[in-house]
Amino acid sequence: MSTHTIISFRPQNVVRQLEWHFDSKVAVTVLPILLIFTFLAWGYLTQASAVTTTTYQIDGMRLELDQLRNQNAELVLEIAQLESLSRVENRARNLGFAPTTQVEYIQVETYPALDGDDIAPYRGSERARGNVDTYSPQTQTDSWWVGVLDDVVAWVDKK
Amino acid sequence: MKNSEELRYRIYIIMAIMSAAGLTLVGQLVRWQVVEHHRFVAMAEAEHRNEILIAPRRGEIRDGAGYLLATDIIQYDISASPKIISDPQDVAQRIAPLLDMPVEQLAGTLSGDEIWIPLVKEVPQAAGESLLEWDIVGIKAEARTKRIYPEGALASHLLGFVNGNGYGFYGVEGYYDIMLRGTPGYQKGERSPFGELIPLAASDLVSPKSGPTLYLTIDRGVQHFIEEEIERTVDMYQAQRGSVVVLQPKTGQILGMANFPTYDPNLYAQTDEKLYANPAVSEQYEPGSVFKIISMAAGLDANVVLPETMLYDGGAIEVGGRVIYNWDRQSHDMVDMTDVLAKSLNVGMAQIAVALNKDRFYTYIKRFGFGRLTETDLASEGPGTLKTPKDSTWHESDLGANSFGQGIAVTPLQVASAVSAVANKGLLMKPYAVQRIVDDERDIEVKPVVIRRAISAQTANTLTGMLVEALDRAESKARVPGYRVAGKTGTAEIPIPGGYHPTLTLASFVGYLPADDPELVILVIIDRPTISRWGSKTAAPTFRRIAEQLVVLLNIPPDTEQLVMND
Repeated sequence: MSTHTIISFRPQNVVRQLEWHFDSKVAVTVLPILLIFTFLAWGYLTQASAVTTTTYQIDGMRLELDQLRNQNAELVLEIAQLESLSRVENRARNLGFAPTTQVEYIQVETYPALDGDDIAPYRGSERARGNVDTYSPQTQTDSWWVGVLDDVVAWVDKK
Repeated sequence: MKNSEELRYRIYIIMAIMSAAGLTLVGQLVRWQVVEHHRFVAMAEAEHRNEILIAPRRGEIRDGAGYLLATDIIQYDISASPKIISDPQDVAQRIAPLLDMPVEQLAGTLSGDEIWIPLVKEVPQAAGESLLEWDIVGIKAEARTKRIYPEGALASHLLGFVNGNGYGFYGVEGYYDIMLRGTPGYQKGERSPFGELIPLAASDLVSPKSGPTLYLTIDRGVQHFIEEEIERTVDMYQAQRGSVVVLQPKTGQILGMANFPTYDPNLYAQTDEKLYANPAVSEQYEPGSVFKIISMAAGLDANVVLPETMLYDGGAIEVGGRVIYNWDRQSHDMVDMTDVLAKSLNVGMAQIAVALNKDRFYTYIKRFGFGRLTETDLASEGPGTLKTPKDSTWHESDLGANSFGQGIAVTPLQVASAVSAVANKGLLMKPYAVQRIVDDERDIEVKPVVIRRAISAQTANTLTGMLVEALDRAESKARVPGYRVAGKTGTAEIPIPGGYHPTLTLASFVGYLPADDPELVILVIIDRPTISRWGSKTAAPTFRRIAEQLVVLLNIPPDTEQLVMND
């Protein structure tokens, strides 16, 4: 007859086979350390996960920003192609317009004199893009109307 | 004993060998860890770190009013690796509409066993981005920028072009190339085995900086008109080529610059390379009689002649052993200085140059900027050719020939710039094409630059009056109704080996208006016109047509209105 010693490596058997001494002092020391490590590990993993997620989000947004910039550039180009001179000229000619050949300058005697500062410089294309405030010749219109009304009142009085 | 000595000897040898090996090992360790420490650290880092370059956007180019003339767009080059595509038919059906290819043809291409093949180049941005989003195994979409000129051939010589590698050539693209390219950014960090950056690892990101937007001095309406006009002119007079330069004399701003034939910079690769250079700044020619403006300015400024000075024109004069004749080979008897200009008399001009003497004559020529670059901001500018008495090839006869624009080579921009100096009360301005440089951080306005005073303001005024009077006396076709125009025609013979071509000429006219307060200097050059060889019959009427339209486009009132406005 031979004797066989069977060693079981199942955790419950291992625990049963060991001499188990529960030292409350050790437990009091080890448990907080374990808790701290667990908390730190959890914190690290959470942070790492958040950083990774944010990094991917930033990359995605950067890509989206690039794509939007590129799409914007394409739209700007499309606008430029639509307002290109050759196209505009063709459209204008088809609509019956012709180039200006001679400008006749006329003097308007009753035209109110304006200070130089009141006259807005011609900035048509910039205005069209909304880069400058729209010039409103309110003062001129008012003065003109006031003049016309005065004339009408004077004419009625005379009558 | 003998054995013992032999043994000791062998031990010494072994020790020596081992010491040498040890020293070599130590030496190598010192080399790796001390001497070449940085190199090996860099090599080690390169194994697991990656640097991705982020290309910047090239700056835009716009005209003075803000209209877009050049910009970058993204396009995609599509390629495939058929060997790793599992279902070519399915892939072909999905991507064929985006690539604008027949499904059967694409499926056939994708069914091969090549490792890599290009499919389509320059696919629109939206299609490329869709392919990137679908992330199909075996299909690769590679982004690339492409320079687009939305106005096509408009101002092509002034703009230049950008090649496939992103380098600018000629014109503004060439001159401002480095500035327009911007500064590339990069992202550095640790990489995964697949070559991608690890998100959690330490990394540096430096964003790219786009190139600035350049605002040109030209107005696209003016440019469009002068391009149409020079094309029509070349066709009308059956000439080979033509050029027009329009300058603002008070600032040196280039308001327009056109040449015909021209090309579309969008299609530069399919264009004859000879058309790339801008003839108005890089090609030199003999100016002929328009140069008499400069010689007369020199004579007046040096007080050698006055407008009313009378000269005897016998029809020929010998200078340095060479006989100079008038263009009509006729004698004009006694003439004043305005007549010399009106009748374009070579003999009279040669007399002025001789009276000036060679030193003063060439000093004035140089003061007007001939023989050197104008230093304009357009690439590939030529300096022209000016022989002076200091050059070994110069001959006494050159003084007479140069006085009426022969034996000297100039660029159109030099002539326009020099005549601008007369229009601008004697001040020579630096011609320039970019008026504003704008980026995220700054908005730089380019200021006009005075190069030097060429002649006194008094001389400039006197000469202007003479030029106006000369056009009237000659009943020039360059005169514009309602405006006093100062100017001069030129009909230059074309130099060929051993002399000049018997029939072919280069006709030109340079002038400015309104003469009392010039806003425009216009130079018209017509190369080898065949309908008429004379500048007065070809370039002068072209000048008038251009000037008549430009005063409308640029809102320049006629002289009578100017007087009213000034009052």
